[in-house]
Amino acid sequence: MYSNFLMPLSRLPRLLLLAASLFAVCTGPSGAMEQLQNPPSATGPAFIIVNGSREMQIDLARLSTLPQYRLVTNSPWEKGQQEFEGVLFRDVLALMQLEDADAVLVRAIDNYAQRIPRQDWVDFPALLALRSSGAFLTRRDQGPARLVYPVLDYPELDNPVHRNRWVWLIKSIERAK
Amino acid sequence: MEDARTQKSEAPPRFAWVNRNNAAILFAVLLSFGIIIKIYVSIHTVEQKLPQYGFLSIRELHAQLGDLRRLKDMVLLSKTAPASIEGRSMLSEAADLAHIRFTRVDRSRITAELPGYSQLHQEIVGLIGQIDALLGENLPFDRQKLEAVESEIKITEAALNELYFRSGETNNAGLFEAQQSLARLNIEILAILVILSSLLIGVAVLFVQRQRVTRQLRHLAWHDTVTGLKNRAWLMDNGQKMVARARAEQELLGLFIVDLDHFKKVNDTFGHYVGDALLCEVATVMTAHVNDATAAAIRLGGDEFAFLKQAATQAELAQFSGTLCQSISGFRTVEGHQIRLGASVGCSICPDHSWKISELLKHADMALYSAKAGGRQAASVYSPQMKVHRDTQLQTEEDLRQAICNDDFFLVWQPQLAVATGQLTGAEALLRWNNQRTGELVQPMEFIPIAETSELILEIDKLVLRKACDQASQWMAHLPDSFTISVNISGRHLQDRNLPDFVEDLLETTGVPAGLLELELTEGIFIEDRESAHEVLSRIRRLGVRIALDDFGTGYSSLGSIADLEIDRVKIDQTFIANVCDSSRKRGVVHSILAMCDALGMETVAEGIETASQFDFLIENGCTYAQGFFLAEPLSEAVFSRYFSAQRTSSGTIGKEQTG
Repeated sequence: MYSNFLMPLSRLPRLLLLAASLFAVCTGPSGAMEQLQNPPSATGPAFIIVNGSREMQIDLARLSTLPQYRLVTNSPWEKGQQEFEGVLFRDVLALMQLEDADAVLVRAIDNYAQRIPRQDWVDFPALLALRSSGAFLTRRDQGPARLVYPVLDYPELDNPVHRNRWVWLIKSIERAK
Repeated sequence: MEDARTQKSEAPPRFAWVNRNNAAILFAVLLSFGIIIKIYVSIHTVEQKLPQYGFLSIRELHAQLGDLRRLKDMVLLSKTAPASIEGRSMLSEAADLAHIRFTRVDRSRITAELPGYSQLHQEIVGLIGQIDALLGENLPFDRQKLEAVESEIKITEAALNELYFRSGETNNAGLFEAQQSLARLNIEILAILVILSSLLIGVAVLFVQRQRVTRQLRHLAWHDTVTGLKNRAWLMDNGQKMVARARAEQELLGLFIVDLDHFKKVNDTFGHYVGDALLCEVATVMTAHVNDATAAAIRLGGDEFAFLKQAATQAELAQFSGTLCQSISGFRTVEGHQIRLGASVGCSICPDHSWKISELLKHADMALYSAKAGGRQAASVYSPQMKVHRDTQLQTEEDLRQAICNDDFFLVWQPQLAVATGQLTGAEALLRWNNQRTGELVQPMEFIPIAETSELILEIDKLVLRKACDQASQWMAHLPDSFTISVNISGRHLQDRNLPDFVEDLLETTGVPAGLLELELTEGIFIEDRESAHEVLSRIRRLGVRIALDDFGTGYSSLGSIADLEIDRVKIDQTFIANVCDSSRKRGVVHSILAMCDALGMETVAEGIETASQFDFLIENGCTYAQGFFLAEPLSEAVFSRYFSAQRTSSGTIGKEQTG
């Protein structure tokens, strides 16, 4: 019932995204999210997605097949405006049928883990950043995959709880218990 | 003595400004200054004690220490298994983690203020560079290089650890002291709040009390304590406001003065307690007439009240003065006594008579005076003629005062004859005033009534007595036996208990025998104050002085009261004698008076004999003595003196033919 009620709402961000991307063609990047037409591709392992007993190694080539977006936003962890490129978190979860999970656990290499609730990928376009300033993220650059939030477009995400959900050096994503 | 006092009052006291109020203000100012300085110092202390370094820097140091240890562990792992691919990837991960954290912390400048941190950071950057170089080589790792890295990590870790504990301890110490200072500051603030709030409460209490006292004082100052009515001070302070109000509303303002008739007697008879109760009764009646703010009842003092009322027309005010008079007059029961109360009302109107309350009061007083003069229990409204009348009266009084000083009075003598023998048996002293200002000779009828309204009559009567006695002492040697010198005395003397003493002194100094002197009094006085009059009269009679009742028949005294009084002679008023030949009824009255006096053993004197037939009637009816123009005009002292001298050589009657 809860999900049924939210479904129409969940379409709204997509419409907004479309409108924003059309607008961005004319004005260039200015905080909003835009879809990339010809994304660069790369190879190499990225992280593991776990759904119950099934486990899937995701590599960068696989992620390159998903729709690519550019996000310009502030970051609570860096100074100044940052430009991220990558795939929507909900698209990544769809690879292992995790998009209907109540929450997922995102774990970093140093075992830092955050529980990401369903609301974050249904109501907000949380992005799994793969590139920054045009270059692919390496482990030195907190890559290869990093969870970022569009704080500039959604100021309600700028709070201490969401700030800690900016997980970098992602090792695995699994269904939270 | 005088000098010392003036000197003392001129020299100012040394600390004149140190009174209670100023001291309190000074104390409050000093206290607030002290409080401000104390709070400033306390806050400064807390600021000084606050931790030197940010709390975040300590937390970051702790995390960095963790990263460094993990890196050290991975290096040790690689040393034990130099060829392991897994170990290499774990070392790579640890190096990445350390790199990421150290770069982020360095960029955020959180730890920039920690002493020696920047040098430490450089060392760690170098260390990660070395590990990166190692990772770039093929497996297995070079053992020696690993060992070099390990020892360098240990040194760096020790340095970071040292920095972590040192700054942590400094922060903790600062935190503890700041906490203690804050606790002290809290107590100080609490104490200050208590002091300030008690001061505030004190001020509020004082203020409220002051308000109450001010209200009470104003009520006391503006209200009469006996009746609760407004008082004269209120009238003086607020009367002008009532005038202004009437003026703004284009209406008239009437000022009524109410005076209770014979109130003094109520006080004397029943006591002040009853008198005050009666005043309260009057106040209640007057308050009942106060319908709104355009009217006010006031007690001026004593038995005098005032009333202010706004009205549209003069007629309304005149009518109201009558209403006021009627409502106060009447019988009242106070403390079980039935008291008949009469009131006279005088009224003046603003703006017809004046704009000023003081003037209105004066005019209303004049109207009251005329109301009383016209018979009591009356109301009258002021008119300018009253002022003229009053002014002439005041002028006459002033002239009389002057005349007493200058001795402008002289006496003439009205001879009295025995009806049976025609012998001269006495003389009535009549006063004449030679008014120096106008140059006229004034008859007693014109000035005695005016003098009787004031104390002047007492002076004048004493003057007449003195003159008469002086004259009598001169004539004494020549006077026939049982001669009488009659002097008129005002009834007011009978309220003056000094009169008998004065007469006694006078007789002694002049050497006139008491039997020679006769005092003539009108009957009206016996109604006024019987007891005291009786006492004075009997004392005078005990001296041997005779008493005559003047103008008998014109007053209201009952025949019964004549029997009670100790009187030697009755003088029948000339109005009876004037008509005695024309009217049989008058004849009957005179006849019966003569018969009554005969029966009571009193002598009779008929006044104003002008014709022979009148004299014949008196002879027939046995009147004892007579006086009047038919027998003799009033004579000057000189004529009398000459007569007495002649008397010594040849006896004879004194008559018109001789004096003419």
